Amino acid sequence: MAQVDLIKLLANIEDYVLIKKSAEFPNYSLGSDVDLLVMDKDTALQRVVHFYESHFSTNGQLRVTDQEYHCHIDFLLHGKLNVRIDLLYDFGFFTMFSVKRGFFIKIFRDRRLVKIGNSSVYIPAPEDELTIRYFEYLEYFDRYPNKLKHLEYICDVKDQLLRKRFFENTHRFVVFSRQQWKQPYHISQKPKSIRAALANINLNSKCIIALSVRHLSSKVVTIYRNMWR
Amino acid sequence: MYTSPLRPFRYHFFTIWGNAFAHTDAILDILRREPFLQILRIELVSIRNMTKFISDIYGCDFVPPEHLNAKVKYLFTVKPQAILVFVKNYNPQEMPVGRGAFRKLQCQYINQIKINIRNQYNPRHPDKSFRIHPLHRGVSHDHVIHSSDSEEQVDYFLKILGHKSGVRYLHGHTGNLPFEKPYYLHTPQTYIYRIIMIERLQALILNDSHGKAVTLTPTSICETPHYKALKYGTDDYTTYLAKFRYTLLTQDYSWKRLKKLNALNIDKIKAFERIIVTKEHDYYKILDGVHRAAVSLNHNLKHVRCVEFC
Repeated sequence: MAQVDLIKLLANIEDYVLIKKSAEFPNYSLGSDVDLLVMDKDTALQRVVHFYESHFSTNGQLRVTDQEYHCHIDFLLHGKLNVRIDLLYDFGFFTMFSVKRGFFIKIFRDRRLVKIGNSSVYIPAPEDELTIRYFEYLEYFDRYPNKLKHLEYICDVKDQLLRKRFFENTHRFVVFSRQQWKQPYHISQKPKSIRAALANINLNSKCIIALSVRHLSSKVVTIYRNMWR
Repeated sequence: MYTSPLRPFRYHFFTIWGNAFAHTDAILDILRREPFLQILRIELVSIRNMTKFISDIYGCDFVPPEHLNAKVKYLFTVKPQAILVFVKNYNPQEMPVGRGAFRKLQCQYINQIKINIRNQYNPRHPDKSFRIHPLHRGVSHDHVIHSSDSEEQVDYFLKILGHKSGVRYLHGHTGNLPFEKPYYLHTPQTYIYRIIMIERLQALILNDSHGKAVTLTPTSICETPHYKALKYGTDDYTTYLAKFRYTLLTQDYSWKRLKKLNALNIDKIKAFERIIVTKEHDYYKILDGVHRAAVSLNHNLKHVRCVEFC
């Protein structure tokens, strides 16, 4: 089965960071996905399309699904998914918490070039890789049990210094959206003065009159309509 | 992109008045030859009330109305029709011009094109020594063409014509796609690059043979007037254009352009921009690219590169 040359593809994109790199990379099993952080989604997409046009267009199709914060690019062979490139250009898709934009910039600033065969690819710094995995675990662990693998990956880290850097990193860039208690509208507060109580009476009586008039008029309209039917 | 102050283009329009209809193709050729202009839409409008139309078209003009009244008097004597040409200008040169009440913001590039056309096609003045700057000597001021000065006027005029979104109508739903898409097509969330056999494509061809109403009929490429004209030298395409051009076909089509496309060498034809299609029951409906499909088939290509909108 033909495989997409991922090394060549990444060399085309240039401005990327490959996250959650699998052990078998640049090989992959059919239907697997490759997650890339990109600074400029449009440029990256243009370059993937260019790669497809020059290396893959005679064999297969390319399906692009543009969504908020990320873009799926599927290389299809005979209508079946060969590999999915997931271009992420914002961490806005996290719903349980939010991530500061600074983290994105830090990942690109601290990215490492690692040798794979005769070529090299950009991957995040170790602490950033751990933080990304941890964020993914936090976001999805209740819905997708397979995300536990990220926590296990983090727990397996023996390097104490790296662990410390990971904790610092995570706490620095995560923003928890705290839930705020809102007073239900139907709970009326006890008035604190005679004046406030009178104001309440005034407001409530206006409300009763308005609702009664509305109710009555709707009844009259219904009766009138029925008369002419 | 549209809202970006740094975008490298502006939208403009030209109005070809009724006194220049004999020169429409020549004027359009001038616009087509301009390297920084892209014609987006050509529309014929019949004018029921010339006074209202003039006040609409100049409604957003910056010069005093009394000056305009004197300037456009001749329009009441010409054919009450106008051809509106909306363009994308990749060479915006907006700058303040004029003095006092005549001070306005004007794109110098568009203005120069307008002056050139007026010099060529404005009716000649009986007095050969007559001259009002910036036109040449002997050229009357019964203008054959009008143009917008700035994008604000285009926005205003489009709204007058009933396009509520104004200039955004021309900009369309462009979501920075990696391929060219006409303004009137919506940006899809999902699209597929694929190679499709030409025999599986169908074009929507305007058809008025049934009687009163004009219908869009799905037609295989070998049956389109475009292909028949190219393959057998028939006049189907010119007849088709004569019927619907500028009314139901508002894109910049011409027989000359189709022939030019057909004259390209095979490598360039194979490398055409992808044809935009959408899947119907058992065929692919062409949304944009009937001419490219016809030319490809005429060069005996069996497959074409397409983008399928899902």
